[in-house]
Amino acid sequence: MNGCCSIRVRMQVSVLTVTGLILAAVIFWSYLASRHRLEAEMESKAVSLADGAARRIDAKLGLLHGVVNGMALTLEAQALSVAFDDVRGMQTRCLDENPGIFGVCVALEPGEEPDGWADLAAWAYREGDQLAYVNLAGENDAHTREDWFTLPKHLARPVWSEPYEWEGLLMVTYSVPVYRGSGDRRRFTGVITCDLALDWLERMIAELPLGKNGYGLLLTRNGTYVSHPLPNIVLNETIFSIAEARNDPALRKTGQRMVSGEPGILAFDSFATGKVSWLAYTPLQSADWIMAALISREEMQAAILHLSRRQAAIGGGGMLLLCLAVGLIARSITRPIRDLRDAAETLASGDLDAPLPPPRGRDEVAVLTCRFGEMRDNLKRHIADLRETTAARERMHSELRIAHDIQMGLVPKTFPPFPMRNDLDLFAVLEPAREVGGDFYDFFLLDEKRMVVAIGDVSGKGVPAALFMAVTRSFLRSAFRSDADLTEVMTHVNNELVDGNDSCMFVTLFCAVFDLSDGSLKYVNAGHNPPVIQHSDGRQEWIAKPSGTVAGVIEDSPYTAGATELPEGAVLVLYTDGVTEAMNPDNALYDESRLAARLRASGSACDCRALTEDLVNDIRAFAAGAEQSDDITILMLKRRSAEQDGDAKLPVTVAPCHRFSFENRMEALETAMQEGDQFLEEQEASPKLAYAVRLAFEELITNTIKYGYDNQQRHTIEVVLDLAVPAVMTVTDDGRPFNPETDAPAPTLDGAVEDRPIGGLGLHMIREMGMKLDYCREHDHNILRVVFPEG
Amino acid sequence: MHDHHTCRSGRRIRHLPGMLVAIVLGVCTVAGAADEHGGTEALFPVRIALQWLPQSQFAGYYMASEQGFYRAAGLDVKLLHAGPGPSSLDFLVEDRAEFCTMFLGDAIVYAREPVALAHAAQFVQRSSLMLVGWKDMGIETPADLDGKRISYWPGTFSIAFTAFFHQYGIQPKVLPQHHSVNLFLHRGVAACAAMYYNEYHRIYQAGYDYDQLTLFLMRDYGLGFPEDGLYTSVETAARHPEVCRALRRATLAGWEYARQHPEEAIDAVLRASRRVGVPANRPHSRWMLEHVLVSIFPTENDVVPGRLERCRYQETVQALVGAGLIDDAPPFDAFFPVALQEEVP
Repeated sequence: MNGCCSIRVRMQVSVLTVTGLILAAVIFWSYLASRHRLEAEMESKAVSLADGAARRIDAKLGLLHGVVNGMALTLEAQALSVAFDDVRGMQTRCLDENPGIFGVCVALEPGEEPDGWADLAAWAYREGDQLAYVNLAGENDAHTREDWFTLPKHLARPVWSEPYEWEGLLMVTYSVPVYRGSGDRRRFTGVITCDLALDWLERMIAELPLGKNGYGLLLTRNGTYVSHPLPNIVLNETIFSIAEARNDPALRKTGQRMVSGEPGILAFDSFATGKVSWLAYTPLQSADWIMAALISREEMQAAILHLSRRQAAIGGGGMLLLCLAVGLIARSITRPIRDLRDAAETLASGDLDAPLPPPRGRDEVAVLTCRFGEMRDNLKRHIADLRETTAARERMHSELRIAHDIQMGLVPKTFPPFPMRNDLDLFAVLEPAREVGGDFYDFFLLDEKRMVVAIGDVSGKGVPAALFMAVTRSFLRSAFRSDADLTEVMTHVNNELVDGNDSCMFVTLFCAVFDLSDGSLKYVNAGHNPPVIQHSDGRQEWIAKPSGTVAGVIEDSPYTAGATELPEGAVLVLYTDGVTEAMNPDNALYDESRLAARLRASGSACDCRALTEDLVNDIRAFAAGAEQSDDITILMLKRRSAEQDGDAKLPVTVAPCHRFSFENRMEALETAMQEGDQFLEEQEASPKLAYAVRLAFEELITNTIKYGYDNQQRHTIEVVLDLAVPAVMTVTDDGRPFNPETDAPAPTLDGAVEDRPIGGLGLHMIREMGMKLDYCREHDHNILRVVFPEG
Repeated sequence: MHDHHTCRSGRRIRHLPGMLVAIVLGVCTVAGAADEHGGTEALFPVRIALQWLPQSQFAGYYMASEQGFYRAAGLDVKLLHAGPGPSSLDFLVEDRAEFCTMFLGDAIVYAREPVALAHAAQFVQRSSLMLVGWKDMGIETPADLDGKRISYWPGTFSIAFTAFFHQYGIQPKVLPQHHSVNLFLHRGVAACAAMYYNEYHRIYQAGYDYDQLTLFLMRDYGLGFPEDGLYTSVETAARHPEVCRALRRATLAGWEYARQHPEEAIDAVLRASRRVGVPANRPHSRWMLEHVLVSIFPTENDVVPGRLERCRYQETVQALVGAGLIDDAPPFDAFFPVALQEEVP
């Protein structure tokens, strides 16, 4: 972001552009305005010069008028009866008194001369300092053929002649006709003339202040030049002959305008100087001539251009200074900003402790720097806080995960839970809304015939509910250990919960004792959702009564037990309100009605797992993506056809299966192993598999026998060998809890247990052979599944 | 005190101050002649008096002189100019020149007096004589001239004009015209005489457009007579006929040269004018040269440049007799000696 985009360059460019434009506009305007003004001045100057010169010429020529008219009047008055000598004398006096006059002539029409007149055309003139005289009539009355005689005669008025040259002098003659007689008898007698040398004219015109390339012109009515700056023009050329020579019709028109007798001014391309000029002209009053003054416009334009150039130069210099000043100001802004930018880069890279540039001055940039520093300090604080918070949250998360695992460990999850019993089909599912929840179910065997099932829902959600749930479960189990009476149990649990329950939490609880031999079901309900029995004939029986208060709130709250029967083929469905209160996106509840419908539809024919999965899928379909607001907990219990005690029937499997059951004595193990060999042989199992089975059997059972029991009592160890693909061996014993996989004690609520080392070589070999061990502990039994590798 | 106006192409009458001018002219011309190639080896000396002051009307003579045609013809020619003073005939009469130029009409009038004239060459075959009138003074047709004040030169010019007025039965008031058209320019007369190659253009150069003027060219009314020609005394013609012929040939060659090199001819004319102080400008000289050349080399096929036709001579004589200027005239072969009548190539 340098170069053309930087602040300094931008400022300079924009300021210079704007001022440059303004300067250009101002100079241009002033040039035009000055030119306009000056042109107007020049015009009027030309006009006034032409006028002034014309008046001065008029003044001089006017003299002549006076003199000649005077003489004419005199002679006329006397009817020309004047002695010739008197006329001569008059001429001499006239010339003496008027130095400007070159010559005077009295010329008469032949026949009109008075008696005694010797010469018909008496002309007195100057020759140097002297006065000379000649008779212009000559021998043939030559004077009568001259324009100065014929023109006044025929025009009957005074006439100025065209200029002519006489002995190198430029001259002009003014002739006045003279008459005798009056009325009808008035007749032309002759002319009086006066000659004027025009050398003073040239001088005067040359002295006009017309500037460089300016000059004056004098023209006759015929366009003949009387005065012109170029040599050889005067008398030879007329303005029209020059126009003709230059093939310039515009010049001819100009000439015609000039000789028209009206004053005027026009723009003119002078052929004398080649410059564009103002031409101002005005007619003389005393003669038929036109005085013209030419002023060069170029001169004026050159002066204005010079001025404009000066202005531009000054302006340019000013702009340079401006550029400099702007650059300096820009620098004062951009330097701290650049420092700030560098600091920001360092900060952005993560180094929050990098030093910031110190604020200079009190302007906006300094304030920005201060704020920046504050922001940096805040950032540091926030990051530190965040780190702490994140660490705490991470800790909490990991603890929650552990809590989840612990909680999941609290509910039995192995199904079927009692594989050796096939008189009951039980399945349960718990899906917490959060990592941990307040729902739970539990089931365990009280004795050979009776089992306890329970379901509960702690108020609230999350860790508090989970903790309360754990407490409740442990109270429940410990209560059953001491007394099997339901109401006692419930009362005991309630009171224990009330004690120390500062947080006023409660739990809804349904607890039942199920007799597997006759299907009787005794139950007590502490405010929990009424379970339902789905009979095999389609009948639904809701266990709504009796129902007591929720547990954990009121001490010594009374509970009453109820009793019903669960026939064979009927399914007992326990659930929490996470089922009935499951919401879809339209906030409609799943409700008991849907639950009933679902159960009715499914019937009781299938096993509990299928039924439960059906129900869960139905609930999920209903929820249609809406967030699960509460834990969903379902437990289903079904009574199968009664079986004999102790000798459980093998579960029906597709694959060949053998069940061992023997005492915890090495001799019994030997026997069982032989039995196993035999079975494997019969099933034609591969030698590899047989070997693996023997190894695992021997190792694991030996371990159990040796270390699994604290007392000397007789315990039964049960092994199920399932030759499906892959082959699975399930070992169940009721000894001390022990997971051969790990050295660390398995998490349990029953207290700490020390390690029980297995023969290291044996375990190593088991693993080497690719066997997978799957351990769990349920209902005080260790259940170890060994999965043999395929092939 | 007098004006020099180069508008007059006819004869002039002597005039004392004019003599001064003539002397000046003579001196200049002699000086001019001295500029020409020196070293005359038995060249026959000839002095020609041209009938007016230097102008393009005489360009052919200048060219013949400058280009050495006269010398090549064995002639050492000096050109003299008449003017407001003595006429070109006066030069011949006073033996100041051997040859002179004149209008045919004048030559016929003066054929016997004061000196017997012999015609040597007819250069200007076609007449340029005319009357010019102001349109804004009502002159549009010949009839408009009736009763108006007009001016024309006295002398043989009147033969055409008189016949013209007679033809149209008009009677204008005639004033004599002398050296200038200023009276016309001052609107003192409604029409004046002019030569197409001279005064007509002068009027234009005074700022008046051609469309302000009405022309009556005499030749358009059948009243055009041959004009400039070269004349000598009968004695000279008898004694040196070959000189006459040579002069005619060389002068024609000079005119031909002027026709081929007009600007050069104009330069010579301007030089001659400036030498004498005669007002002249290039456009006017060019105009005059153009139109004089046309009248010397007309486009009609039956006219031979430089030669006088018998019928034209007879016509002119008749017109002069009709105007009452002469009673009779010499026969053609006396006027134009046979010896001089060699075929012009």
